[in-house]
Parts: sequence; C-alpha cells; structure tokens
Amino acid sequence: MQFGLNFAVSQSALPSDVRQLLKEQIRSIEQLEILLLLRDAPDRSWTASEVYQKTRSSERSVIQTLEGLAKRGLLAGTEEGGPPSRFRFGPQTQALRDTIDRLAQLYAERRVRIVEAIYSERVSEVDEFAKAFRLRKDSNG
Amino acid sequence: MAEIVYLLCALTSVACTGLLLRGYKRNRLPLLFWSGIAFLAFALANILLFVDLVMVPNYDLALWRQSLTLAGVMLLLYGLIRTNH
Repeated sequence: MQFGLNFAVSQSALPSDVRQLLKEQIRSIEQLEILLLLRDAPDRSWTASEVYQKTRSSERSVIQTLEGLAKRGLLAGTEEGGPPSRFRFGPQTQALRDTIDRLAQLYAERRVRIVEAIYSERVSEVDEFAKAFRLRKDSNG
Repeated sequence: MAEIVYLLCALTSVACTGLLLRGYKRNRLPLLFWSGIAFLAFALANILLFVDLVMVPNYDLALWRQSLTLAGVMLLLYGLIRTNH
C-alpha cells in the first residue's frame, strides 16, 4: 500500500538513525509490527505460523519478512545450514539494538510520524519509470 | 515513405532504450532495467523490420522480428509483475 505523500510533513522530529533504519529495513507496517512483536518477547523463539497467528496478515509475507529481517541481522534464525524455521529477536550490534528500542518507543508515542516515515521514503518505481522519459532535468518530481 | 516510418520506429525505440537505461544507471531500480532491455528488443525488432522490408526484400525475417518482439513483451511483463521485498 503506498500513499502519495506530497504534502510537506516535518520529518525532522525523528532521529536520523531511526529514519535510516526505517528506510533500509522496514517496507511496511506489518514488518515493523513483526519486528516489535519479536522484540517484546526476546527470550523465546517463534515459528512463522506462530507469528502469523498474532499478525493475521498473510502467511507468505510473514515468512518473507522473518527471513529478510534475519538475513539483514535484526533477527536470529535458529538453524544453520538451510532456511531457519524459528526466529528470535537478535540485532547483531548494540547500536542496532538501541535504534530499535528508540523506534519502539517512538512507535508507541508518535505512531503517525512513524507510519509516514515508512511510506514516504519509498521511491515509487512507476514514478521513476515515467521520470526516465523526461528529456530535461526537472527539479520537481 | 514507408521506409521513413520504419526508420522513425526504430529511432524511437532506440531512444526509449537509451532513456530507460540511463534512468537505471542513475537510480538502479529494477523496473527501469527490465523495461530498458525490453525496449532494446523492440528496437532490434524495428531495425530488423527496416532491414527486412527495405534492404533484403527477398528474404523473410518475420520469424526473427516476431521472436524479438515476443521476448521484449515478456521482459516488460516480468519487470512490471515482479515484486521486491
């Protein structure tokens, strides 16, 4: 789901590491919810279907999200040599852990800002396709 | 007259290829790559059209042209349908 956010929203309130994390790692609200769900119970590991029971989104996107987040070092998969079947919250650096903590707090306090940050950073491929045909370089998108 | 039209078709396709691949070089979006390659196939098909009807009228290059166009359409569809996560 993409919103065409053309109105000026002040993003300056969000700290830059949180914004960076959202831009690089989080593609949708579902992914953020899954990350924070696993963060809330750091001592247990989850299977994809257990996560799906909670999010009730789509089993396939849950699996893709879990594998993607694990591959990028935010979650830890619990099986080496082959696709992991259980996932646990496990950011690989302390800095990443701190950023996710900040993100969790901001999501609780300023949910709308976080949602806007997730969806406004996404570059629309179709827009870029159309822009490619511009012969003159235009400053306005 | 017809020759000029074929030539213009070929030039337009080549221009689209160039613009799309230039866009891809700038921002690395997969859609631009796949559509750029698709238009390359269309450009080749159009050039072949010119060759077929103007330069070698005794040979029929229709099969080659249609294959290139088919390949281009499939590449374009792939680029439009694929999702990234």
